[in-house]
Amino acid sequence: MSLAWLLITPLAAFVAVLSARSRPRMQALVIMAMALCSCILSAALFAAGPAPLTYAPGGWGEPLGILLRADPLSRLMLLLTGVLFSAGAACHLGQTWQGGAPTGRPVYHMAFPLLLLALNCLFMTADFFNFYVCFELVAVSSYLLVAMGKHAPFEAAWKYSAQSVIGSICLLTAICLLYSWTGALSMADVTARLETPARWAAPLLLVAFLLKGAIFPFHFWQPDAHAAATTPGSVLLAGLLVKVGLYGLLRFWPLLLGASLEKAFLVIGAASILFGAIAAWRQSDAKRLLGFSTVSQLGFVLLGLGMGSPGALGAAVFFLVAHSLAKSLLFLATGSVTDRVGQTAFAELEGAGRGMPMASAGYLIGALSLVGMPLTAGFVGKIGLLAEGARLALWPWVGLLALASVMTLGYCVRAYQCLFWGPAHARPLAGRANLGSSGAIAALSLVVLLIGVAPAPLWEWSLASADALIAARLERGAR
Amino acid sequence: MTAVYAVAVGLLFTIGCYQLLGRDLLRIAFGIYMAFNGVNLLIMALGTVPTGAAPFAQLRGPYVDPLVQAMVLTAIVIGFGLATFLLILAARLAQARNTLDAEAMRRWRR
Repeated sequence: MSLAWLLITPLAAFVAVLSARSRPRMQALVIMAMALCSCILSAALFAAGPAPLTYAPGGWGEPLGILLRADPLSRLMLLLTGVLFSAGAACHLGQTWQGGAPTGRPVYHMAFPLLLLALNCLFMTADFFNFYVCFELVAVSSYLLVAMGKHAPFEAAWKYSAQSVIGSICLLTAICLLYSWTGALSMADVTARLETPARWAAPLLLVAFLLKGAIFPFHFWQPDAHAAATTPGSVLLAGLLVKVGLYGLLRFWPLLLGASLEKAFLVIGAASILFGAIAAWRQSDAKRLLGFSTVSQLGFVLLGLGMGSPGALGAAVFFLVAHSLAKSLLFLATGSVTDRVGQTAFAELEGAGRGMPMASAGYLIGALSLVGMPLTAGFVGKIGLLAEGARLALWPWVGLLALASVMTLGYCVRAYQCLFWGPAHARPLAGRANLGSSGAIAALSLVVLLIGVAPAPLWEWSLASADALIAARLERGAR
Repeated sequence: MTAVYAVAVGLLFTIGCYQLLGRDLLRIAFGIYMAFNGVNLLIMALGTVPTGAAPFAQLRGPYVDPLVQAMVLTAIVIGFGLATFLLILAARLAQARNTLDAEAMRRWRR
């Protein structure tokens, strides 16, 4: 199968959405079909095995052309994109059908195909400048998802886009520095020609990706953006957009500094975990709590990068996927409750989830996976990181991991209790959960449990991705 | 020539960063755009040979790197688009809230 289909599908859907301008239900259906197509295509790519696959657009190969390549990490991210985008699109479809989506703004629907196109291209590109362009495209299409929300969205959108532009200035500078040192832009060539680690580019890359990934000192935009976005918007933001930053870190990891930067990763990761957990504990808003929980959980991925062994990197990749699934599930479940009330503060939401068994079950499964309970997807990633930490004798970090899991359990239980167990809601609630959301919650819960019961295939893929990254690091400066 | 580029890039970055630290949303947007143009100039500087010859490989003698020209063209378009988007967002904010003060944004939060 040619990789180009993963780009042609969203492009065609974009044209279709554009031409069905005044019919929002039609647009939502097209978006759903596009997401399912992308999911099937990436699943087929996944089933074809981990051997790298390249595609030269227009027949222009190396060194002139800009290649698309699907290595294990790319395929994992593509499949994740397909699955989560389908979940988000289902929720969007349900909302649109009920008339709950901001349908007065046609541009909102156009953001979805654009976002899928940008994400697919970003995860496949084998060229650093193309990576930058896709990074921008992802950012711009996600601004729309934040800016079209119902609750005071422009402030959040301003915060998000202003910081994001600063991040992309850093990324652009770093990529141009890499070009000036190596005279190449393709990822393989730059890695091979770079003799010393990318010393001066490293801080720029770190700022760009930590901003995008919402890691501790650069997290400030993220809870606001999550709270302001529409429900499908926050599902995609938490599940995919934030992961773009971490994917960038993984992709550029072979170029970065050695031991000193690994220490920095460990420290930043630990700070992010602690700060995010404490801040999540103190939130009085259901969506902001989940936003800070993302800040906390993604610190674990940084710990994996900091440990730097194949096992730890593999566990970090696994954890990334598991977190995406669990957090999307949590946002879907929370979103179906908050959409019912029209508020996101806990004080307004008490007991609002009563009589929503699907949302309640989904929230529970997502929360358990986030904590790292056995038989859910989160368990294997966390236990892998713990085991590697113990093997490398990083005892303070092992303790931190355990502590953070307990804190995660604490804030998840608090939110769950308030939403689903509280006394019956004071006001009569309009409407039921939309069918699309419920379907997406059921499907994602199933995936989380399935990975928890049979983690072996995903674990193999994560290890294969880690091995490819480490091989790239060893190749650095070979030419 | 390199010195001119270096000074210009430095100036653009400095002014851009200074504007970024202000409270006025318009100034922040323009500051970001200036810093972005600083990077564009930096990219230009990467591909220039000191004698300043034509960007064309068919002529004899030194010529500038054509790839850099393509990159900077892309970057200019992206930067312009982003700046426009920020300005529109600022305009919508000003319409909705009747102010452009970043400090005021803090007060609107619950």
